[in-house]
Amino acid sequence: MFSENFWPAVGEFCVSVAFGAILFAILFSVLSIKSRDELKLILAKRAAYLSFFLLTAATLILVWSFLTDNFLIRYVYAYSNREMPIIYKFTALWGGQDGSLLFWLWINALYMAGVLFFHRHSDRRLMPYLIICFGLILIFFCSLILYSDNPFAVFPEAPNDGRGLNPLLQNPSMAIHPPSLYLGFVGMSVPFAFAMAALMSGELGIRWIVASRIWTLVAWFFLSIGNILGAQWAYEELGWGGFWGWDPVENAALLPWLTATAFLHSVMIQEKRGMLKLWNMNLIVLSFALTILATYLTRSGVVQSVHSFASSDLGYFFLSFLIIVLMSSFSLIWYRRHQLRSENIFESFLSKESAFVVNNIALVGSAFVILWATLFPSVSELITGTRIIVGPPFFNQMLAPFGIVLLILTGVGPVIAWRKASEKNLKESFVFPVILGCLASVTLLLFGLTDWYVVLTAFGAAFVMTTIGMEFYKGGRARVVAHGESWAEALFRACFRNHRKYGGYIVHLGIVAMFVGIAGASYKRVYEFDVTPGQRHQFENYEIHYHGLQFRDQPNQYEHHAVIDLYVNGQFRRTMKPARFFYKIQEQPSTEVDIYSRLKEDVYFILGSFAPVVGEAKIRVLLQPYIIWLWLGGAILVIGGLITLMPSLGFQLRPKEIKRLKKNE
Amino acid sequence: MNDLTLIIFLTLISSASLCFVLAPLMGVKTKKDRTSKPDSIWPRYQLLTQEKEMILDNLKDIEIDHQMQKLSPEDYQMIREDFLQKAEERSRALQHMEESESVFKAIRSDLKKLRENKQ
Repeated sequence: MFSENFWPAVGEFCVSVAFGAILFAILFSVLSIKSRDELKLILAKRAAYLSFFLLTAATLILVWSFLTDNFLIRYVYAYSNREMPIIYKFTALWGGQDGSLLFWLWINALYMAGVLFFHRHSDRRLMPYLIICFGLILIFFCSLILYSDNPFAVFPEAPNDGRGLNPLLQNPSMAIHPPSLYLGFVGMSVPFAFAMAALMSGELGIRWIVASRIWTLVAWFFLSIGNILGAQWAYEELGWGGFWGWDPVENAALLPWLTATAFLHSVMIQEKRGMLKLWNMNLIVLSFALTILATYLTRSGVVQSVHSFASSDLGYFFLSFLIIVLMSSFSLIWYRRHQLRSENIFESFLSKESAFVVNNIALVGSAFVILWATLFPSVSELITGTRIIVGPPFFNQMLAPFGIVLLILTGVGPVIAWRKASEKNLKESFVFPVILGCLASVTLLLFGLTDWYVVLTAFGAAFVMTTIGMEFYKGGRARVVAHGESWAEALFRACFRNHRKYGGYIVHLGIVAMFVGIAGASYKRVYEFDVTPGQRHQFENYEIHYHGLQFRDQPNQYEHHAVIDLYVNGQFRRTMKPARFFYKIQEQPSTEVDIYSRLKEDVYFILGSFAPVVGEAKIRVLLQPYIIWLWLGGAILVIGGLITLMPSLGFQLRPKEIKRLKKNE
Repeated sequence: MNDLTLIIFLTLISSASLCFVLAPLMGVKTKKDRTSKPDSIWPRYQLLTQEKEMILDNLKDIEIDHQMQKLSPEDYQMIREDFLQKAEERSRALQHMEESESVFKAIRSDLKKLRENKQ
């Protein structure tokens, strides 16, 4: 019905009108602040909602163009082809620079619409300021799309087929990993907008901090999922057996997660004791600025990474935006510094407040180390002309102490007393966990595991699990004594009446499991075999029986699978099929590993070079102890995050009093 | 023909966008019209209510912390008194507002508009 250039024109037009609507929303928000005219604010809000609808339409048009193979659009041509499975035609939306910018913009508009809707009753005073802040961020991204990287740009004539998506991105986890990261990155703009709205309006009471905490938790939740899935993708798809390579782009995604985690802890001190107000404000600005920095690093070509987009001039825009964000935010903070003074002072080093401050120092300190090491190659090149590479050993050595401190604080923070811990509190809370921690370390030493990081991790893991177990026990016991409930009921009620606290404890348990998985990586073993069909090889308590190579001609790729039977302690367990793919259109190979997972260790198969005619192959087998705990820990962390988060959305954003008053009337 | 279709389609999008944003100016009743003015006492009332709620939550938390011996009796007493004082200040301010006629006028007028809109 419509010609091929119809939808790209409509898509581009939608973004242009959205741009105009955002400008209108900003203008009318300013006017509503000046004139205190409600009608102007209503118009501003409607314009903001309109921009969201239009950007949704533009995004759907681009997705539709992928699904209908509209190769007249340059972006569709560059990241899709006719043979690509449908799921990857969806994921191609964020597979390249231009589309990912539109996706980013749409998520930002989605967050803005969510904030305008959920906070329409509770934060009316902040509303015009929120629209201004969101609007300015959206204007920046809209401008990039309209004037620099337009995903709707077209060829004069449509090519017959597209180039297709990068084979490394043709992995099912790519359907969740980038959107999660984007939801996390862009989500940081919400607490930032609340912080700026509070600073601009001078409404620095509890509202902005409550809203910021909830939305930071949302962003943190998605960033956690994104980072865990990213690590899993690296483990399963890149075929090197690791899960975190300290690549600049990976690091960039970790930085805002660290500062957001710091904020989620220090905000408790502000809520309970009225302290760290200035620090919390700075953490929010820092978290948002780090998401912009991460985008700058990914899109500027400043750092060298397997994940970065093609180098472009976009980096300069992001750098300018980052500088403007930092300068304006810190100016506002300085302007309101008197209203951000603490209401109380630290009274003892042995207190919850101090434990949280040390936790913040460790988190922000590790973020600083990672940032410096990530930027160091570029800085060294700028100053000396030589690019000095900072490799994973540096990161591991520098961050291990931070990691251990954080792990132990994960157990200290929840149980230590507020204000000043008494000797009795310290004894009751820590003697038993310390004994169990020491026992765990000694056990490892007796088994000959002497790596200091692993021994301390064992101590920390046992210590934290005991303190958290004791917290659940004490919480349950208090209810059993006070209300005469059964243990199961008491635990359930204690958790759900105080979901924020107990959800946090579950997150801590997830962190412990992840540390166990990370520590296990120190004991990775590698075996390599040159095999011919029918051959058997034994190593440790494993045996492999190689049958030969299988060839498959798929529409999108050629596949060579090595067929190997795996035996553990002489018992057959599974037929493993590590493979090498060759993508036809991109003319690019990829390694597809096969993994036999167990709680004790993963057996990780990689197919190296091979001779298809005679069926000879080089097989690499990695034994990865406890790696599964990293993924299980991630899952526990996500569950804990959900428990902490879910009721908040229902109960915190809308005051009960409004409903009650309306009902009574 | 194609260009004409495109122009008509884009004109429709523009018109619909304008109508959506400017509807309140054209006399169309919107949900937002029902709420009270920002300079009324209502937002302040809401803020105080939320602050009171949060202070009560904090009181509940320190009560649990005290039961679990994470707070010494002296510290518990001191922090509790601090929270109670803050809660009392909010309660007094709320009571004062509820007694003054203006806030209830605003609430009544909001509710009346709500009912009218539902009908």
